[in-house]
Amino acid sequence: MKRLQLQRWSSSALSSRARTGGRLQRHLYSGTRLQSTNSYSLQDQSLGQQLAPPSATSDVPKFTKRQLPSPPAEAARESAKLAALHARLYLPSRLPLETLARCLVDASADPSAQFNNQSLAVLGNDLLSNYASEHLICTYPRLPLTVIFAAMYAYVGPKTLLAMSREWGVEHAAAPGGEVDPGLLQYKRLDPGAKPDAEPLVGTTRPNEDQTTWRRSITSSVVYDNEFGDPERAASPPAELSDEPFLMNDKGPAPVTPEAASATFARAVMGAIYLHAGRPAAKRFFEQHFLSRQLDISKMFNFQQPARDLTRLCARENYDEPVAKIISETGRRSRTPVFVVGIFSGVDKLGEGTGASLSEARARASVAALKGWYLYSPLEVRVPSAMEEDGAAPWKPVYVDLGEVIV
Amino acid sequence: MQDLLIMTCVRFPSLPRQTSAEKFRDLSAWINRLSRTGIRTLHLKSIQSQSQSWFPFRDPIYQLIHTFTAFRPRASSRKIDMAAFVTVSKRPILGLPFLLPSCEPATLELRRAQSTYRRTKQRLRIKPDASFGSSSDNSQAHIIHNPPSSAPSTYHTPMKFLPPNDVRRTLRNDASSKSQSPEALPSVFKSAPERKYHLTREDVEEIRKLRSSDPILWSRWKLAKHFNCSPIFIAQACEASPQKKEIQRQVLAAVQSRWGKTRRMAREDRQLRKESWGRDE
Amino acid sequence: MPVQGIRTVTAARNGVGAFILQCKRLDFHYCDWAGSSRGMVSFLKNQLTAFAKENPQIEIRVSPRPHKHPVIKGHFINGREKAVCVRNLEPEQIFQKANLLKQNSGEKNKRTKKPVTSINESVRGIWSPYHGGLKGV
Repeated sequence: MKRLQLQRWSSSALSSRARTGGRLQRHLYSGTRLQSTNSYSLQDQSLGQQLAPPSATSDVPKFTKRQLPSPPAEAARESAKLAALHARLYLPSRLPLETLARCLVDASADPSAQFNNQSLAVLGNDLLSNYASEHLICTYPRLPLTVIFAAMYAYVGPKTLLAMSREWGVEHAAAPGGEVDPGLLQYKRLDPGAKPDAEPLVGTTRPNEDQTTWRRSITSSVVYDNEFGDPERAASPPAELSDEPFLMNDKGPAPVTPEAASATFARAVMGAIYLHAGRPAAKRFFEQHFLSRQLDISKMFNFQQPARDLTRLCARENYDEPVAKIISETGRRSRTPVFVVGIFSGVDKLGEGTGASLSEARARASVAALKGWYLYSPLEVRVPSAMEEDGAAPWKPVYVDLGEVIV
Repeated sequence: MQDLLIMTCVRFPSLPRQTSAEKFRDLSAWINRLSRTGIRTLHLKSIQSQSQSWFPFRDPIYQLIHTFTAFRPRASSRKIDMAAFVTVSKRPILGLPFLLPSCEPATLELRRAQSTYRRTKQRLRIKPDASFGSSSDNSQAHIIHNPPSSAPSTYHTPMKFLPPNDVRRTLRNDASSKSQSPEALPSVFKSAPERKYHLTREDVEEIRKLRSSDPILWSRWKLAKHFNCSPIFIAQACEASPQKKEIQRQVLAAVQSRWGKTRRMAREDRQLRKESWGRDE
Repeated sequence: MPVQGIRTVTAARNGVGAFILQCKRLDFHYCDWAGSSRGMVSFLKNQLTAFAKENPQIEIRVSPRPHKHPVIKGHFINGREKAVCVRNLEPEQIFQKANLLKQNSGEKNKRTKKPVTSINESVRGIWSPYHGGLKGV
């Protein structure tokens, strides 16, 4: 597969201050905003309209750093925190400090889409969920959908991303602003005591979302919900992203939690690496920082009626009916009896469990057998994105399972 | 644990072919893994009786699995000359220089002596296992497998659940999965549920009619006794009327209102414990 | 719903994939006047640039602290900080102290009884009295 020339695209991620060319353009538009960016389409609009606000008509020094919602691009070169963060994460040298500084500006700090990390986070989130889901589905092809959702949440969910950005040593700014060190994560904080998820989410992609009593199947959440099975706000059309300059005296956007801001930052870093350094670097970053974390999938199951599920499974797969047999026991008449029960199908043992009563031991044995089914993993696992490397071996189809047991 | 062994072997397909130095290092790690998977001793005499290849598994490592799985119990295993065994259990690299025929006499001194008699005995004190028996032919190398005394891991897919084209199906030892015959074991339930399938469509209609006519008189248990089936089948066939459900709820509430704190807490705890079974906690 | 997923968070294993240096900031405090800072001033003048270049992951701050002994303060990712007083020390000794802070994890010093600790499951599983070598009676 031919490698894409991402460097050319990634220049749009930088503001014009960071770019070498375009001095004339910078000269023209430095009046509109100190850190004015890049969009060539601005040239078509009338300058008079841009300069119409009385505060914007005068010279450059009229804008101080304090009036800007987020630090200007040239401050990124002077921040020691930012350079240290860049080196600590072993980010590729092709990823400039200015982009890393942009990754640290949340949309709640600077609503302008040209200066916040929203676009990078969208790209990064897609990459993260793609890599995580292909890893999970290829490694454990029989996992039930609910467990896949939970495992996705564990790998790339907002809680994990918050923990990761803490472990990366990212500090949070008390309040966003142009004078703040660009090495700090900038977002508008919630007021103390405010509840972020007080009202239910509206404006999702799911049809009939106002019908709260309707059943929401797990399969439908693949279509309508996000990668963790949670309802997701529908994407706003790009026309709503305003290009107008934003100053601190405007009415601000909604505040966010530290968890949401950190998650957006981590996703934006992923998107920035992809944009500047390309796909292999992004995948390496994912493997080193996300996939290397420990997750025990066998602890993520919660069965309601394991014995019934196992019976349904054996009927579906044309196995003999599972039979529970006592392998050993001790102290049946005592206060603390222990039973070891095995579940057999024909002559094969499917699982075994111990418990203080026969029903408990049987339920635990059924859980063990069901986990033995669901946690099957092929020996040589290859993910589809491995085909993107140069000189990759021909693709062999991965194991695809029928799906979870439906009762 | 066998899966781990097999995975180890599949990951390093060309491992035991060379006896060069760096491969030796790999091999020591490999033996280390073997010992952790439960293989305690290697039958040295038979290993050396093979030709100049120091290890019996010359070609792809699947042969190793073959020797591992093809092992059969031998009656006279208790009388095996102990010198022929090298314990690999806790100091796995200990016996390794032995295995290289080129440096056999030279590295003999390199083997660390057990400093006390007690330690020597401790190393040799291996719990007897079914797989300790004799193999069918003495000449073949065999590995003694001593399974760990722990509950089987849930990541170990049972033989029956492996897909038909999975390589583990052919490699896995059939002795381990069929060591217990389920016929000899007692059942959890006193009597196996017998399925009669004797009710017809008309009977089901009759059940529904009776239950809707007088839900107080025709309860689930009474219907089950009348039609000689299980109450679960009655529940599947028809549902109680809302009035009956409401009455039942009031009865239950009246009973529960007489419970004291201790009993109520005990019931709640029991329910919580039951829910924890499904999470395997 | 026959089976539900339990949401958890993956546990970090620093060094398994990427390694994040735990020391994120070093503060060097010195005094221009006092004699106990002589080695520190010499260190700042001659060696600090090379030290900072070697360790780009660490943010370095230098600030005077008049009429006080020189101090190196390390700030760590776990939120703790460790301070080392370097009064009357030679530049080489100060370099060693800075290295000590750089390599530190930031945790409280504690005695390690086991050489290896791991969050991975044991290969041979947790011992159970009901498995392995059961004898029929």
